[in-house]
Amino acid sequence: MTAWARIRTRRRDRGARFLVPAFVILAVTSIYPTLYSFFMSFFDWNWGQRFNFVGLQNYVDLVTGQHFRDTLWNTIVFTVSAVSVEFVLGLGLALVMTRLRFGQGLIRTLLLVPLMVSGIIVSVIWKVMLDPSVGIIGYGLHLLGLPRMGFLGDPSMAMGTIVLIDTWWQTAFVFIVLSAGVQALPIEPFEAAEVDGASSWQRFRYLTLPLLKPAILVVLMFRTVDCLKVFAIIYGTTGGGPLTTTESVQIMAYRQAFKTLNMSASMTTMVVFAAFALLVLVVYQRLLPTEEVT
Amino acid sequence: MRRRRWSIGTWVAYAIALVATLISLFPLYWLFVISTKTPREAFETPPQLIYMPDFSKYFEIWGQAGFASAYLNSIMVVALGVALTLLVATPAAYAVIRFKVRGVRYLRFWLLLAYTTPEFLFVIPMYVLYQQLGLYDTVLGLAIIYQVFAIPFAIWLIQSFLGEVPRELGDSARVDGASELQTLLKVYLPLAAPGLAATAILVGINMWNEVTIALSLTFDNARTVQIAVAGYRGYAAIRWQEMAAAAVMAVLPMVIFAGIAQRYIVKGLTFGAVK
Amino acid sequence: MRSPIRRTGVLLATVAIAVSACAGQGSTPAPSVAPSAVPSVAASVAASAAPSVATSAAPSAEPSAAAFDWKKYAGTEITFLANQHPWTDGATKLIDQFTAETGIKVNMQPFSEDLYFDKMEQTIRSGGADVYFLPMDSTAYSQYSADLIEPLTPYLEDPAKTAADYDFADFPAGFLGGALYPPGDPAAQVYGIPISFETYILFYNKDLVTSVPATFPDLIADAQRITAEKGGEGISGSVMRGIRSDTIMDTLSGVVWNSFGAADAPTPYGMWFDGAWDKPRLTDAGVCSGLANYGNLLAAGPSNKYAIDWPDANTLFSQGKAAYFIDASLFGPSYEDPTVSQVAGKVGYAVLPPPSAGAESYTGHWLWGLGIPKSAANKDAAWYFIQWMTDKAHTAEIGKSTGGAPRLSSYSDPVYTSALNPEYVDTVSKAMATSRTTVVLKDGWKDGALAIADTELAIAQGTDPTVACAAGNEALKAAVNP
Repeated sequence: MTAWARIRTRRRDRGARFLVPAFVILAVTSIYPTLYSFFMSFFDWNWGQRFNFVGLQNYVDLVTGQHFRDTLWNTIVFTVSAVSVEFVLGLGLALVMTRLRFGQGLIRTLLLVPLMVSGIIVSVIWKVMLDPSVGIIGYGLHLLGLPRMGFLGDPSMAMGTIVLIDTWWQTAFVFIVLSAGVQALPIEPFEAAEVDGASSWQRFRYLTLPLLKPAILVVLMFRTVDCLKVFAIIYGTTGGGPLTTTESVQIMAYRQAFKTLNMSASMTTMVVFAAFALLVLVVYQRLLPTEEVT
Repeated sequence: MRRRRWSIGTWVAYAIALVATLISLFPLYWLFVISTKTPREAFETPPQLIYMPDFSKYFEIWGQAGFASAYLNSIMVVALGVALTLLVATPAAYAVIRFKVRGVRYLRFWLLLAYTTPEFLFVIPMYVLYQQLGLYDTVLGLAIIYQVFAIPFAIWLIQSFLGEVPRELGDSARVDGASELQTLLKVYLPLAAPGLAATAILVGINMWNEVTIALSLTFDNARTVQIAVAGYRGYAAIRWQEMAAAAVMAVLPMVIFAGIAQRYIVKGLTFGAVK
Repeated sequence: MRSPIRRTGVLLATVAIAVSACAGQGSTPAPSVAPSAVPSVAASVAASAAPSVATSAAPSAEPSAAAFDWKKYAGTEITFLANQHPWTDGATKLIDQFTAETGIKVNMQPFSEDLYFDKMEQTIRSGGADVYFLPMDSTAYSQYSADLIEPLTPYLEDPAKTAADYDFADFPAGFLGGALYPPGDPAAQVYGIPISFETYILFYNKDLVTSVPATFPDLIADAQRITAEKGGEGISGSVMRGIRSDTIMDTLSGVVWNSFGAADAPTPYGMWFDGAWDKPRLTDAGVCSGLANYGNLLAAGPSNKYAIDWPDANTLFSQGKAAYFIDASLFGPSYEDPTVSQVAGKVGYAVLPPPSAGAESYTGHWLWGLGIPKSAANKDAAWYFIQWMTDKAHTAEIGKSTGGAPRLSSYSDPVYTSALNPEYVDTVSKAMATSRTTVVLKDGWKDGALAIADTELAIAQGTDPTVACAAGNEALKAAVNP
């Protein structure tokens, strides 16, 4: 048997050893807790003496209760709004960058800065700026003759404000991915189209967008999932208020587990929500044109 | 080629880029301003644009027990976490590209699944488990739980970098009698080192900035710098100047790292996303 | 709510603080349930005012011939889980002296208030603290119901454990009600020793307000006027706690007591229920108008009013951004400190304006105490800490930092009495004369409190009070009777 053949036959069994540590950690930190949550969702446990088997009662309560539906709806509205705005702005910026003659590296680095900031610090910054009584933005509005709006403290505006904050924070992600995508676009089709007399808009619609489709879908998928899971920026600014208008599903789960100490309810919420997020993921996977390998 | 005069389009593009940059950076500038003015001055209207900055809080916050230990905790969590990730993910990535492991197709799905899982789904059971194991509120506990996101991400990234190493090099090392482990260490790693460094930076940034899990699984001993920033409350008022100074200190390392590793970040974020 | 004070208030000796829940009335026992207990202390002078409630709180031990052995537990170390509160500041200064006198080492763990509540619940369940800041209300009651805290009466009654001059009777009975369990039971035991009290008064900015409103409706009208005029400058007529949380209950209760007046409201039900948990009475005229008063005053606040909690409200008032602020008396002393307050010297203090001309003003009070979890490792040493910190001399001393010393004797103690704004002092003592407890003792009261908060918030947003109170009543009933 040649040396090559010997190596080939031994390859398969070696693989397992190298993968074991990864799977062990995965099992402990991911599989076990998920199963545990699923198991505990059939009980009523308040981190104290109350621990009874209740079957599907938690699920029934959750789904029939108005609160979860409102919260899920809030979260979906937030996600759709934020992702749309971030996508349009990010794509726009990526295209704008192509028109610059110099300084692209610097500008790209500067635009990336908000993404390097954690959710808590983003919250702190914006909370200070948006306070109607002492914030700089309130002052700016006053100078323009506009009323000092409540922003994060006004029930009708709070969620919209969170969308804007998330936009400031995460548009850079969309921008950077689409920017790379745009840079990788082949030149020939565009030159040919220009020669054929296609307008900018036509080139954009029939060339740019379709060619960018894989990148666009990946970006949309990551942003969608991220927005569904939103927690940090809401926790740091409004905590779910005012009057629960900005409560997202993860904020709700946090409150249930750590404030009202209702562990089971919290786990039930998360199981249902995880299923929902998984569904969204599957939908996006179906939409993606090709299976990426590397 | 001679430079032509800029078209309107180019001017507009620069204007837009300028506005975008200002919007991106102003809040951080304002944060810095607040950290160098007393709250009274920071919030007075109209705000003074020219002033003598007061850097005292930047020194004071270190003297306050909470912040200094939180900063240290974050450093330890990131160091430990990234080390653990590289240790576990590198062999796994190697296995993926060298061996015909059945699970290769599922790797990408595993990554996406890990990213899609809402944190509280596994955080709450881990809260219970950690309390029993004594890992609650420890740096080690945090570093372990962060692997949930870090490992799939790192495997995905590293296998791309390792994949760039020509197969023949590895094969010839094997023929020469090297074990797989030796091949990995002596052949692949040196060539893929920059990629590994990039992965380490990306994973590190995510761990440093992580909030949700840190909030739930730590309290005072292992509190990370992000949670400490949020904790700058006095009895009846938020200590704005200290909080802003703490926030700047928490952001600074990441911005510096990002500046250094900017092209790797771009590569990491776009890897596989664009054909 | 659970808020801080800083300095001292000079309370007149006569303020034998008729800290009665039924101010001015004799002790009329509630019909059905075992009444007696709790607060109907007729307004009389000096320490003897206390307890017809002698049943519950243990009388101080008889003077024993042998000197009390303070060093009995020398060498032990106890962990003290504390809230970042001015009381903690004052106590911290005395820790070394405590250790010197008793040989007990104290490991202090302070947390900012919002974190403190989470930490408290975790710690008393899993162990790790010997002494902790106990909220003398339904929170502690829930802990008692879950069998997590140690009754302190046995320690008080044991002459070997409590010094002869401790004089437990020096605490007004009305201050103990929040930690006497089971509520209404003649054999109730005390689970927390009071360390700091607060009562709800009106603060106003003299720069923005020319004359104190005579009635609550006048107050609301004036606040609305100021907001309309000065809103553009970032100044509002009023600032109140507006978040949707059970934590606003105590301030809210104070305002509702003002409208409810002197009518009977036996514990543990407070004014919210008519003698039974399934008989909520948000639709009662007094209660509903009290809720409406709070809601309407809240509505005159800044545009982010529903996100404002006490730290924000306190800060805004202290920066001169609001004309009126109703909340805990503890905030008062901090307004006079020019290093932190921009309104030093410009703050006026008044009792809550009565609901109508000529009516009497009422308000509420609330307390922090110290307790021992059942999971504590060193209960006896912990008790030494508590009794040392809450004895006459030290209550007065620490009271200098809080302004809310809960012992009657403190008010005739020159250590405690120090110069402070006389208007503040006068107001607090007037308020104390007609102050009723805000405590409702029910396991899981949080949900009920939220239902009441929702009612007040609905009114603030424009719902007709009658409609809101009726809906709130139903919600309260459902929340409390699952």
